[in-house]
Amino acid sequence: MPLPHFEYVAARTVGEALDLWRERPACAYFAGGTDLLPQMRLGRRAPATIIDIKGVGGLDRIRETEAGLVIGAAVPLAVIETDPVVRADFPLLAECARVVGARPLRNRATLVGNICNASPAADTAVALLVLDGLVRTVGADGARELPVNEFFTGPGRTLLRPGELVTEVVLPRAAVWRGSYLRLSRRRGMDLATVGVLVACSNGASPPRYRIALSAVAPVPLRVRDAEALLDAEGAGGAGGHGWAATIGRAAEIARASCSPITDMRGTAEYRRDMVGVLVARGAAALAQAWVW
Amino acid sequence: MAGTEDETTAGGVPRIVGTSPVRTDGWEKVSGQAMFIADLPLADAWIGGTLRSPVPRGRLRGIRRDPAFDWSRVSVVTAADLPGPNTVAMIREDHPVLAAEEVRFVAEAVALVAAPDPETLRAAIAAISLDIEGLPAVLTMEDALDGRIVIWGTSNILAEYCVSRGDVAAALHDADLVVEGEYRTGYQEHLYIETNGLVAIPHDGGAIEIVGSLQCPFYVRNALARGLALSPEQVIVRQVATGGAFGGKEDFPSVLAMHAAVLAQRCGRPVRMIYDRTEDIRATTKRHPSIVRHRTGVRRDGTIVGAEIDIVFDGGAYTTLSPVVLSRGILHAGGAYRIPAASIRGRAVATNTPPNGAFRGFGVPQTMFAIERQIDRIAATLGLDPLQVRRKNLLRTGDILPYGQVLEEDVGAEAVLERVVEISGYEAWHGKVGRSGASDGHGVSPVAVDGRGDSPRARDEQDGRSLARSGRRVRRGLGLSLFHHGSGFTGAGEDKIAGRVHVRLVPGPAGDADGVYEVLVSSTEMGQGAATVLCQIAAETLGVPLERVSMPLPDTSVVPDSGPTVASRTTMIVGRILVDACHDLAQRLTDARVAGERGPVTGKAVYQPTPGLAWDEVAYHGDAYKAYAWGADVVEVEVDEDTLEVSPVRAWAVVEIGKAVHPVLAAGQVEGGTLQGFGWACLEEIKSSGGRFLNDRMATYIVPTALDAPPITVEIIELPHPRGPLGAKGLGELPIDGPAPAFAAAVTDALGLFPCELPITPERLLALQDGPPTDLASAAESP
Repeated sequence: MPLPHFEYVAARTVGEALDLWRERPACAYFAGGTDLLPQMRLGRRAPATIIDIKGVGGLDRIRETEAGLVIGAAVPLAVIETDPVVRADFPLLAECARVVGARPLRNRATLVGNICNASPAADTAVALLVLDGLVRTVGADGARELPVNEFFTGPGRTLLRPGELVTEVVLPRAAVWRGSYLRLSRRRGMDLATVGVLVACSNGASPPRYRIALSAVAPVPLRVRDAEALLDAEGAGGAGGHGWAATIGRAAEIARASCSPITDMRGTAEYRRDMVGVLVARGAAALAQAWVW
Repeated sequence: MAGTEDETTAGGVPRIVGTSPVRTDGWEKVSGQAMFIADLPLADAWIGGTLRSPVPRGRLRGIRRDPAFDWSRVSVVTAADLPGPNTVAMIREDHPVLAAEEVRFVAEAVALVAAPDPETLRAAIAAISLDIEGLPAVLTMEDALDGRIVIWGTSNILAEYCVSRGDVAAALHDADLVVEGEYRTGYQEHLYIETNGLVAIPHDGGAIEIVGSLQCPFYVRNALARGLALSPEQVIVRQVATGGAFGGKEDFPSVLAMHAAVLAQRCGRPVRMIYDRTEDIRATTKRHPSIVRHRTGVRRDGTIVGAEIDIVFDGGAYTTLSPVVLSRGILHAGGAYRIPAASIRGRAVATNTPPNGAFRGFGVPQTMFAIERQIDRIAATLGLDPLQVRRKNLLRTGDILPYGQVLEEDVGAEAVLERVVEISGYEAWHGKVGRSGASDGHGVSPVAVDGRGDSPRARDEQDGRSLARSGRRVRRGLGLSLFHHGSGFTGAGEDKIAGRVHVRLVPGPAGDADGVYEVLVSSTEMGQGAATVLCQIAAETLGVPLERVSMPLPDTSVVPDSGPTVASRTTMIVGRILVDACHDLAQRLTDARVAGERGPVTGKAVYQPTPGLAWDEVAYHGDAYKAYAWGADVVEVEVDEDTLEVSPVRAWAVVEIGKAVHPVLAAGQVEGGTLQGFGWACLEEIKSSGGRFLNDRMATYIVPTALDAPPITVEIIELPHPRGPLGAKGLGELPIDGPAPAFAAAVTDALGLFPCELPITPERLLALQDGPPTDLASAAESP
């Protein structure tokens, strides 16, 4: 289907974007558009007005602040995945950004767009969950700061209120988390995740802390805190020690039990659940191999 | 001029056939100058759209138009408004232009609308509602065969053919073992880059012109002449630059052209209809799903003594080309093997699903997958290496095919098999001596035999997956396939088509010396390189540089009917007629210039039946094809033991095609067909629910990308065939016949599982792993 008719307006400031939303009918904010435009073609969304925020001053930058690294809503994924600071201090985000779609798409698609779209399979969401990212918004009721860990409420649904604009994401500099995003997809290029598992460890912390986040296996991307707690408790004396393999197996079982996948075009619920177990075990084992404790 | 073949070959003029010049259509395509159908400027054209059935089967009780809509702004056509018979003429006349009393598949066209702009079109279609009383539908081949619900004819059988040779019952009785297997394959969507699309332009007196992305201009002309009750001359069909087809623009454009034409006549202006991807996937043809059962009698040394083969293809709701697809599937069902006694039955059944049609391979990939898996099963059952069983049974010159054809030509089967074994290191991998591919667990990673797989591993590290991949338990496996494909139409098909070719010399300012030669054929360039290859053949035959030969886009009012661009026939059959036309031109040119005539001169030729070849259409017996091309693939796969993801990491393809007119384009055909075969083998799948296709977008219908393509080593062997131009045989379809069974065999080699159904997805492998052990011996019975 061709795109339906809509009005395009470009905002230059956050205030102007909010004003435009108030004044015009049925608005949608627009950054990369890589989710919005296909959804409009498919008839799933029909905004009468599209408010482009790419030209809003300041939203196109990555900057250092006391609260942490701040990534503006108009920064495309291709910039994030290659940014030296992100790669050095938040390598998990760079890794998750790098597997979204294909490079031409990532030249337009944004991190903020990826989380606002709130797909259960959002690749960057698992990184932000593990990194305790914060979502900064501005709306009619003023500014808010929402933990990414509370942001997703269902497929395509978030805590955002009508007209509320996400301006940036904050990555607190609490620890450097390392690990790997294990992602199954039907093909290598240009595909959504069938199952995504991020297993991470805080590098240098003593005792080590673990985090596990899952994508594409529940209505929202989610953390598996019970499995994290198990690894934290059992790993306190040093991962890779006696019984660690059994601990990993129990963590994998907890993760399996805590997901609620569906059967769709990309895979069956049973396969997805099995793979959560396989990938959590694999990711945890890889951590043990990657560092000498 | 260097007007004869003798001067060309003996006179020191550089050869053109066998070299790889830049494609004649290359520059205009890479520079964006080529005009595709969406690029054609047509200021006054309206846009056509289609209202489709939402149910797989139902009685169409009424079509209601919302009185609130201003219907004067658009044109609407339903079955009641058609100017001619409600049929799209193909093999049978069962395919209506628009559903009249009954709808028979989800997405069947019920009403057509033309409007000046997309918004009006969308609003008009939304203002039409269908009153349909649902009827019980047949959605599977099993339901079609059991016949409790009859939706076509008296028994849901669209076509049935039988082939037999020798006393099969006796052969199976006397065999040491009878091995049984059942094999299934699924849909495949062409996913050509450019969707189906065309423009219909009405002319005075009811005449109509079609301009479009299509494969077979004369098929469209004939269908329109019938459907619009016009003379063939009143229908002009022109092809524009076409972005891929793979068979998907063979039969379907006749349907789309009828739709656009009736709308254009209705509104009295050009109507453009270009499907978007979703409509194209929902409504157009696909590769036929299949079920093939084999019972093969073998001796303990692996020699095949007899075979029973039963084939079922899912034809969908209407006949389209199913009988000929089935026929070709049957004729190749025995594979490239000597089967002394054979009985082959094939049926195409009707279901309430979109009609299936032509797709590269045309029935052969399905039956070739089955026979190749069956050979692997025989090997596993007998404890032999699959290569050993193939060597023992492969066809040689002088052998007789199940339908009675004696192979008098040079048979390339052994040559391609031995060469692919050599270059792939297959024997080193499998330990040289025959051993069972299914029972031994081998190929445990990490494996690097003779440096194999270096390239894929290097690629993994480049894309940043090295850490993510650590901790994987990986196995590798190597699989083999041997296959063949008949060139040109089956049996007397080419005699009936009687393809014609013209070659015209248009003198330049300096007369003939700088004149231009035009190859006038209905063959279409759709990406495969036909325009380049035919110009090469003409240039070589005429003894002129390639730059002086061109092949204009076909226009049915200008070019003769050379037959459709299908069936791996263009190079071999049309190319052969072209050689004759070039010779005719040389003769006529001499005559004309002697007589003092100065203008353009046209040479003409028509297909000449091959003496000594005979085909009995009723008994299905005789010389089915004028030549066979041969191929052998070896595929190496990597399997993740825990996730059961399988990917091809390396492939070797050796083909014997008589003569490669353009070696680079020929190798490209092999690479492309091989990758398309891998897609069918492990990725591509239509998911449906209640007869509705669910994955109707490129985001959900998954085909391989460049990142999924393994390095493919291609080698071409040439055993020149006397019936082809300069020895060339057909190539286009051959490469897609072998990859899927070789892929499956590689999975068997890696995991010890024996997949019998395509696509081979992780879920299917998990089911095989969790199911009862694959006890291949139990599939055999001792008579």
